[in-house]
Amino acid sequence: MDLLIIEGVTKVFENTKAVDNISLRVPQQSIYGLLGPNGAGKTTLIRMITDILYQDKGSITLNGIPDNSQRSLYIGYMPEERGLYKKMKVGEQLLYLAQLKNLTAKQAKEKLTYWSERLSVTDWWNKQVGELSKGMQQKVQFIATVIHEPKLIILDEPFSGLDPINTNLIKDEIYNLKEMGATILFSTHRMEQVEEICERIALVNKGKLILEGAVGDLKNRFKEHKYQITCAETPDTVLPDAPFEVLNQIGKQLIIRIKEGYHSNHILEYFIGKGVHIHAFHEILPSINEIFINQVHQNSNQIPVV
Amino acid sequence: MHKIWLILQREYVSRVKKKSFIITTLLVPIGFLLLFAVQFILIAFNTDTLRIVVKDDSGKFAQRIKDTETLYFKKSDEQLNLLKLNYRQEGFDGVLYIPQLNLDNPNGIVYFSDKLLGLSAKSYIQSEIKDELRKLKLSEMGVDDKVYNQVQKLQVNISEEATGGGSSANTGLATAAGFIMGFLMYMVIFIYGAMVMRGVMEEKTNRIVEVILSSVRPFQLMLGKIVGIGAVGLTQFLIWVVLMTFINLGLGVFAGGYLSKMQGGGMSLGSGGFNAGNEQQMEQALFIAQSMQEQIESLPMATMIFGFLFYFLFGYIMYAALFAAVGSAVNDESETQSLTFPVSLPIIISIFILSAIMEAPNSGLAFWSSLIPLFSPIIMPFRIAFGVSWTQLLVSMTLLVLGALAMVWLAAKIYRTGILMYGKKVTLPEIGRWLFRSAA
Repeated sequence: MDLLIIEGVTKVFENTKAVDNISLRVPQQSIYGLLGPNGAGKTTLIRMITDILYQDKGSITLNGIPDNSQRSLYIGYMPEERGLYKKMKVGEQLLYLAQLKNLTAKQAKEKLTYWSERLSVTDWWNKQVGELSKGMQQKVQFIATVIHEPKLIILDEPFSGLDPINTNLIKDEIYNLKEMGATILFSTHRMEQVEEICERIALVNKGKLILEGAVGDLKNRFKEHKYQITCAETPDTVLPDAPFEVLNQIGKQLIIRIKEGYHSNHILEYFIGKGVHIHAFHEILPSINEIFINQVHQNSNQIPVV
Repeated sequence: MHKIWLILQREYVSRVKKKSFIITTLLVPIGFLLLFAVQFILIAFNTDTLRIVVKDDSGKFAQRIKDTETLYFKKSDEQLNLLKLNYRQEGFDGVLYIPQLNLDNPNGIVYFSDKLLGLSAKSYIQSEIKDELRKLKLSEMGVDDKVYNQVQKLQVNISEEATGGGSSANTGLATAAGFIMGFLMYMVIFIYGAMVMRGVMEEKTNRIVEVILSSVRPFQLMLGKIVGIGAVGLTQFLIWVVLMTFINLGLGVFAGGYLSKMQGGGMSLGSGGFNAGNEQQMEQALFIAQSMQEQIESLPMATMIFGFLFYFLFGYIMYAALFAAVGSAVNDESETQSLTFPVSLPIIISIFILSAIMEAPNSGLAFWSSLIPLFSPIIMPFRIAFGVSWTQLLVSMTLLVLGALAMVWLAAKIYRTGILMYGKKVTLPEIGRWLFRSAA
């Protein structure tokens, strides 16, 4: 079942189409990546999902209810530009933000106790947010995002500015929230994180959706039939009748592309036939980063900012 | 509603808890108290008596100038030149010389000293001599002392009665009270309006606004902020009123006790200065103080307080909405200048109108400007002090409420667009276009 269904959503600012007829489906209990260069329309799309902006056209359905005005109660949103009241104490601030999401003060306190122990911010309860380190502020912001147990959690660049320890901590929490039933929409332009975390991705550029699908499927779809093979000794020059061409050779390591009509076993047979000892052999799949750059290039002549 | 209430609470509590709020709230009445205390101490403990030798060639005045708490006079028949040389050794501060006076042209009175006489001592001596001169002149013309004293006690007061259903009051007092109210309104609208603007800007530059807006509507956030800060203003007023009342009561009791102790000493706090050591002047001072009290009571106090609160509430809401719109449209403090100007302009114009109508509280300008919502919060409280008919008041109040609602509605349109707009500097025409756009 799809938790979030976006159909034909368009948003026009003055004369520019910030979001142009985008449709996508985010399956329940998945981690979904929304990718795109800066200014692609990600933030505008997210603001429409969170009900901060209204779409000019199309519909947004959350949890089976189209264009529900109570939608924001089921969403937890952490914007890219973090913001908290600097002069307010951590505890008061979290309590306030939780109550704005319709939790009662009592519920909010219970949840806050759980989360602040879990992310070890309890000691900071009575400190003003302005006194906290940046990493600590991020944790507070994260708690504010998930405190009301939203069905959909939208994280815009959640790891920017975090050290590796806190990055891992938040990453674990994301997996944990998913296990507990939440769906995570993850907006970023950091591709290596997408590959690691996301199950499905949507690629947006200049307001348009240019690619959508499961990460593995996309990699297969865009693979270039390249393999890497490592031999025990430097092989003889490859003959032209081989089932592949050599793209690059560094000593005992070759990067090759298979010719039309052949498959990987033919490569192995060729080398074995030549009496070469093979140490390692694997297919090279394109990284999401390469797909991203390729696709953005195809859709525009500009070099995307990655 | 529930969310507006939450926002209102936060805006209110976070400000009321601030040190700066507590300090200003307490400092203003304390400053007021200190001012009184200093004045009181200066009067009460100024025990340095000025000792003056009087050389009176006419022989008619020296015995007539009476001593006071701070002035001591001694008649002397020595040569003026000797007195001028020796007064210091004999422990005096100066020599007052009165020559043979021509009653029609009393010139030649001189005070010799190395120190200045001081304004109040000088005017006291002058009035004593003048008083005596009058008596002499009148008796020369055959008027008896008794008749003179009776004439002196005659007092005239013009009391005013409005015919249009207003109340009667002293014009001067009404002008003062009305102007103070109008000016106070001008100040509070600016102070609290600017507070709203800074609050909106803080949320925008902090970027917390995006988090909040994923929970509440922009309109709720704006309204909660405006009403919350307005409540801070009312709280501050209330505390001031209560503290001032207590201070006044305390001062009254204290001063009253002091006065009765000083009976005949010629000290009156009510008129705030010296009074002569004679009972007549003392009585006069008390009379003035008493009639002041009566006149203040003759002002339409209940209507004035109600009017002030009402016009503060809606005038503030109207202008605060505009200030909120400005705060939402800018990226930092430096950009506010050009945009606050058009918002402040009507307030500043109101003050100009206020000074223009001081002399003519019932002129056409006063009438019309007290109906126009942008001006009425400052002009109407001024007019109320003079008594305004209920029909006028009702029309003005209705127009103000409508004006305030319209302004909130317009400001909300600017606010919801501006608050999410980052980076570029906005111009007035652009803001104008936001007004005519449908949903954000």
